[in-house]
Amino acid sequence: MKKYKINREHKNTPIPSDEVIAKYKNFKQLNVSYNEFTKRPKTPLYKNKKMFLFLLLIGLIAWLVSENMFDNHEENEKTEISK
Amino acid sequence: MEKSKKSRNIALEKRQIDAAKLNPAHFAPLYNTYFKAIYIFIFKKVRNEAIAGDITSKVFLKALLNIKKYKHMGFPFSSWLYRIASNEVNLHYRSNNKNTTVELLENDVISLLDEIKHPEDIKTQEMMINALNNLPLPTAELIEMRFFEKLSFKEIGAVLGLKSVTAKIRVYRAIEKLKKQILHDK
Repeated sequence: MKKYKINREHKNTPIPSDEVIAKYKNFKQLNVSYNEFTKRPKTPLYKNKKMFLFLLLIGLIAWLVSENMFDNHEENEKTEISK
Repeated sequence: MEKSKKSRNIALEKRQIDAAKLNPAHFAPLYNTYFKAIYIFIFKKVRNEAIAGDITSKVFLKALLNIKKYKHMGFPFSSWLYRIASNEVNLHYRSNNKNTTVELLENDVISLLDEIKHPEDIKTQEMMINALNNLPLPTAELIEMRFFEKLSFKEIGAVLGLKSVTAKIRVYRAIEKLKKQILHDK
């Protein structure tokens, strides 16, 4: 919601001086922020605690699935031989 | 002479944009050219030096992050920056859940009353502010940009992505609506 009101105390808009504006001007800082946004993090994914647990969980699930498949395969072979 | 200088500036700016697209470090000339104008544009809206500085940094970061997507559509590069700045200011108020109160200087209000040929007494000033608050936001913002932020038609066009002639027509239509609103409120 935007509302307008009259400021009767000030007669002119006090625009900041060039020195004040220059205080906020920093291209180096802009470059640093840009790099933070775009460059990949330096620490590898597995060194991140949450990411490590997530990768471990995925590995565990993959192992369980492959074990299950292997067991099923063995059972199928046994039933075929007995037939 | 003037025209050739203008087209040379446009060509130079285009080269600077292309260079920045390839290497962010080459964004510096554009940053140096437009920093002050964008800072003042934001300051006039937020009236706080530090907040204006913070939002200006965000504007240029967004511009740098998205410069690869920038396409020249016939408007100056500054129009793109003004649009990002306008959105960032709105985002600032929205994220702080603040109601925006724009404080207008008495002199600016008087010059607007003079433009619409109304008496300049305090009662009429308050009536005009009331009418302005009752106008649809895009209409009120056109008046705000022209009479309170003192932007030229070219700059208003740049903010809205319009040609300066179209911006001028829209501003005068907004003034007509303001006049009608004042009569309606009477």
